[in-house]
Amino acid sequence: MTVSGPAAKTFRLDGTYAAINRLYQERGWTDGLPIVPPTEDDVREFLRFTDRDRRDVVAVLPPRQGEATVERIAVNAVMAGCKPEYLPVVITAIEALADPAFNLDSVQATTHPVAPLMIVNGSIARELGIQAGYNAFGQGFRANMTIGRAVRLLLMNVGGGLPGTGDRATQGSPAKIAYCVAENEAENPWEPLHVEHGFPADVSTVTVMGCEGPHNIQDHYSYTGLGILKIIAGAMGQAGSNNLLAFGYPLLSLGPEHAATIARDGYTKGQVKEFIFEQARFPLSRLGEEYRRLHVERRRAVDSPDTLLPIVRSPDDISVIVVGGAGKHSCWQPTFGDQTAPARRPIARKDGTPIRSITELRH
Amino acid sequence: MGTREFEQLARLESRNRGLAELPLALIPHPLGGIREEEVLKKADLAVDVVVAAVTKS
Repeated sequence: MTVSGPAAKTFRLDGTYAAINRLYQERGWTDGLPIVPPTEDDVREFLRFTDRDRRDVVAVLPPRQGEATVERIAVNAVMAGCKPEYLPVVITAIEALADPAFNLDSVQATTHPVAPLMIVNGSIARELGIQAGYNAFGQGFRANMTIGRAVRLLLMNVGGGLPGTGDRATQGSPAKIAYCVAENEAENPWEPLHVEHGFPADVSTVTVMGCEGPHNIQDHYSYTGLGILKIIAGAMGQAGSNNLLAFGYPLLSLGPEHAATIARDGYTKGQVKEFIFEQARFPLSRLGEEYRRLHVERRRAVDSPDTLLPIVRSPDDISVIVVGGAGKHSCWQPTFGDQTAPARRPIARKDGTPIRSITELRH
Repeated sequence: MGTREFEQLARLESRNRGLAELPLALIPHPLGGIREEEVLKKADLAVDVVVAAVTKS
């Protein structure tokens, strides 16, 4: 049953754009950047792209336990600079973040620099222009930047994830500003992420993962799949990640050229995961003494010079996507250890029926 | 139980979950990255603050 939340408060402010932004900054209603003033007209236009009631509660966001109503989601999407048609993606992302497996409580409050990465699959990613190619994790694409920012504004304004109080990140990360990408399905030699997890190819989904920012993996020299996989495993089996500390569900984002070489040499996606599970390991003997003792005394590592520590419990705990343009770069995203697991939702009508195009929701 | 550094967050969380009066046992920051003798000192201190927290009327 859908719960109905409070109506958003409205107020009248006569002033310049600069004055409005000054007010939002003073009240702590922004991420630091200027916002687009969420006028009633703009919010109404956004609400044309959902069949939900404006007061439906999509999720309750910690630590404030704020109710993310459809209307509040629309307000923050306007503020972030979204186009109205992005709203269903933002709603779906908020729904996924509320999945208990994602553990938003801890993700919001931790000292770790974890950010919710949104991976959009399916035709709606292409329809909205969510970048999957060149510089997809970077700047330059309105959909990526503003959908990611809208979610961050909601986590701050509704969830209360404010730096130093509800969000205790020691240093934070640029990924906490906006972190949204589409999978490059056209250049993926394997099944895309959502199909791997049982969704039909023509359904669009949003996957959320509690990730660090991208850690680059450069390999311009290997011309075999095995060569590239060894470099990738070397990069992922590093000290200092929460995955080496406590396993979890890390992400490998393969550049399409690396993916093509690996697939050409006969590796399935499952075999890539197996390889990483076996090879992305860090020698126990190279850890500092205190950390080594932690693994021996509390994680049951065998105290031997030959012990290699894995970053996951099982190959299936690794996610693999294909993202980016031409070039010999991939990246991996360490995650918030086993404190968070990926969550996924189809972009759908209120009754749960997936939509094939955003235009199906427009009214 | 936590360190004083995170008291504000703990109170925010407990209040927002309807447990504003939840007793908190707070000890000096940090808990991680400290030597064993400091751990023992904090553990001794923790006994007192836990007793005080749970017996607070």
